[in-house]
Amino acid sequence: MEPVYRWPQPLLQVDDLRTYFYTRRGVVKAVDGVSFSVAPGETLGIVGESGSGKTMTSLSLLRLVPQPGGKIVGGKILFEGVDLLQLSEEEMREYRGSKISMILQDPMASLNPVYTIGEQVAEPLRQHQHLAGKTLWDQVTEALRLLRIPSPRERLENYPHQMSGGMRQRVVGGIAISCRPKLIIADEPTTALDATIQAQYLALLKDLQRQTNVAMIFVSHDFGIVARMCDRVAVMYAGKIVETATVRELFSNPQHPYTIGLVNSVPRLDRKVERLASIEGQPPALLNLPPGCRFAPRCYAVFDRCHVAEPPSIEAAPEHFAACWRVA
Amino acid sequence: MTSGGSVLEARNLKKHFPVTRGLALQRTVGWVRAVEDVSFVIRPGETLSLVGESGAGKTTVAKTVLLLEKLSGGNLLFHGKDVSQFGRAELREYRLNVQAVFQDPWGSMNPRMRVKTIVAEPLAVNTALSKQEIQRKVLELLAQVGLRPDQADLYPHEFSGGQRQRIAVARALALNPQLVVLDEPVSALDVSIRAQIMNLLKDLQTTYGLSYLLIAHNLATVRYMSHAVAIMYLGRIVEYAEGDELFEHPRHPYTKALMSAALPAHPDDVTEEIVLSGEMPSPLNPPRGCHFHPRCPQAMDVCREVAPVVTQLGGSHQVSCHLY
Amino acid sequence: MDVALGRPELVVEAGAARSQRRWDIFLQLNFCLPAAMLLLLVVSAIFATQLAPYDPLHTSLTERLRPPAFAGGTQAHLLGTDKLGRDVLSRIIFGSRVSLTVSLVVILITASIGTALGILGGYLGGWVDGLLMRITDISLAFPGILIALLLAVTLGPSLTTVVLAISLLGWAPYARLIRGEVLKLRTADFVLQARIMGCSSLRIMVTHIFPNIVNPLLILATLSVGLIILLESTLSFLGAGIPPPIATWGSMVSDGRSLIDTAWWISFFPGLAIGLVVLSGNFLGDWLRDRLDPRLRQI
Repeated sequence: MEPVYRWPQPLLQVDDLRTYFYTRRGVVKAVDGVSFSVAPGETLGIVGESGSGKTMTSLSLLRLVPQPGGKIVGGKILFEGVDLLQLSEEEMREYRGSKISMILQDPMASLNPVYTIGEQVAEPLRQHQHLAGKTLWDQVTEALRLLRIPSPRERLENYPHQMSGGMRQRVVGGIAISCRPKLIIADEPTTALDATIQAQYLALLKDLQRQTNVAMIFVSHDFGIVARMCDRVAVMYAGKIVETATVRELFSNPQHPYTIGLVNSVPRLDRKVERLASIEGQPPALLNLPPGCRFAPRCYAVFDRCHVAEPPSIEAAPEHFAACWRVA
Repeated sequence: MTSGGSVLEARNLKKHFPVTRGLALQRTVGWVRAVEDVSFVIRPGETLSLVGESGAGKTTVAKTVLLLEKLSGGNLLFHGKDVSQFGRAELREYRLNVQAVFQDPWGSMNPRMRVKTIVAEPLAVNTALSKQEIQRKVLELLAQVGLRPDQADLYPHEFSGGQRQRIAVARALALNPQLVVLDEPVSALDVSIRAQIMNLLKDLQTTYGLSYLLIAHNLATVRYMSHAVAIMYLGRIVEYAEGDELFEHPRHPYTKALMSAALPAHPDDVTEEIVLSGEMPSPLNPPRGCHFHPRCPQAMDVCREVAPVVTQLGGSHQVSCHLY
Repeated sequence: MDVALGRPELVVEAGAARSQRRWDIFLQLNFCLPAAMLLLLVVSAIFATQLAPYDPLHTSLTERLRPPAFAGGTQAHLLGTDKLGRDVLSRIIFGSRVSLTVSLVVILITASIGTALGILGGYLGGWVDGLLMRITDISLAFPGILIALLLAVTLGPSLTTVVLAISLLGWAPYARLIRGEVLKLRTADFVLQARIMGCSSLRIMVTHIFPNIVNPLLILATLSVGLIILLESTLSFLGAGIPPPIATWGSMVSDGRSLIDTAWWISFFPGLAIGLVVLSGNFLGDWLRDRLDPRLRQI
């Protein structure tokens, strides 16, 4: 499939990415033909539930698919025109942490408990920019300042356990931003945080983006985060992207029955809902999937064709794609 | 809050955990004030929600209601009678009537027991029913939560998270309780499954006249499920209202901040952006005066010195804040 | 639940998948070889009289110090004879009886005591736990072999003495391990649920806690086999074990000590037997530990 370039050239263009897991009981097609793009400075949201493949997609971008068993078996990941899947491990390592970095869900697990936070933020700077001495520590302090950590100079000597959850997640952000990457992938970064801390953190990330013009990919199961943070959204289900649109389009005019179901099954704070719509059944086990559309068993708008053939991505409105026969 | 016809009433609940030092002779050097002066009423067939962030004390309150923790002060009244005065028989009665569903669908069931044994256990331990009668009841319960009889022989790990929560609900209902404590029942589940479970809980409430004490941090979930809401901060209730009042007219600055922090349902939803500074302080050393004053965007001098008292705002709406 | 980075959640299909997994253990060499070795031990212990070519106690002054069949001896004595003319092979076969008996009895005693104390201490906590743990610490601090020797001197060497001595030393690791597991389980939601529905502490310990510690228990028991046999052999070697003329591997090694440069086979073969059984026990224990990884949930 010929990649379609939008003008200007996107920062990241993913074409037909496939990541499979080879287990004793069969092949799990965790990511099965996923395509999307991210423009410089843009925020893309990837929304899905467990088993949708969203985390595996984000790991594939950095070629950090868990071994043994996991393997990227096809597709292209074009970052600034370079196909990351063709690089050697050495070359790939130069991208990780410096051009593309990642923020994970649990700050306590992301930070090494035996090193100071200063050391941990310094690590990518040492590794990629070969800084040392005063220049190094100035950059480290700057990174912590960008993440609004109070009195950064004094904090350099702190250990992770001496800080609160919200602060730790900021340190993780500091590590991610230290080398001024072009793209940050955030995988459920606020799930472990309290509501008010989450609000602080998201406001911070938005601010950071404004200052450094970094592009972001937000992986989440929460539509609310996406509504607040993202410019465009891709909805994933069972290893495939079922809908892509701008955030406004997606919420006002969802096309795919899964998206419609999800949007209607989330309770509202701004008004009283009498009865929530719910999607029947549960997400499929990814082994031995039946032919046809993967959402068919749970779909309220299903008809015969859905069980036979997988729908391609169809343009329902300008820049709004949905993989559904109903849209055709 | 009036009592009349309540299933459970809490009056000035207090729970302090001692902080000890020393190896052999454990000296108490401080107290963690987990719950401080909490009062509420749960009426038959209704849901009271306790909302707050971690450290607010809501889980501790739940544990005291379930008699898993002893109160340091205050009273729990079950149908108007003080639980601390209960003898063995009355305590047993209380236990049978107050059950729980916890957050984690993976840890809440013994992985070595089959589902039918898990759901049967409350009956086996507390009633004198025969094996057949128990089995019949178990299948009935499973059907009510939407599971098939042939699934009764399986083990918990053979079910998905949502299905496990259904089993947990079936187990909680086995003894026909009057009150079920729901501790974040849907937080660990996928988004598309949450609505299923919430609807199930609401339906069961209507069918059986169950009361729920819902512990949650997601305000939208709370709005969907509750008849009354209490917002907790650092061990105290800072605002309480019934129906939609709290959501339509939040008064306490913390409540407003929580509502602002709640993520929008639509990108065009403009919420007044209130971003709080700092973090929730430790319950070991709460700030003087109003606990919330260090983070409050509307803090006044009096807030630093004097703790606010409960102010009635008309109807059932109450708030603890010097602004009122 | 801790979701290991990137593991897709696979809902296990009931029934069919479980039985299929049972049969493929035979394909794993890690299981087959040590299991076969231990099976051999059991078989030779049970059927010793049928399998052994000679009476292990039968002495023959004419057949003294015969080398093994492949090193210059006759087919009559495959592994040679010792200084009293007793057939080495037969003595090894009969020796397996002793090793097996001691292992089984000791494991039974130590596992029972250790588990019971571990569950009680771990679940009940407080002063009960404190007391039991101090007793466990004391037991672990004892110099093992010395106590065994002391017992042997006081009670006289016999099978009972050996079992008693090893058991005395052996229960503490079980108590430690089980207590650790129980501490983790005690705060699990399902234990809380059991309390909420009115289960007594005893019922919780028996129906909820115990079935969930069976796995680590099994692993420790399997790994203990080697250690017990080694201990028994050491005691026999030092003369504090089962007295002659009963054939035990340890005493056979000891007997052959002085003749190691001329009649090496007297010590070598029993020594080899000890080594193989100990290794098998350890390998099987390791395999079991991998197999019973909690992420895989069930055996």
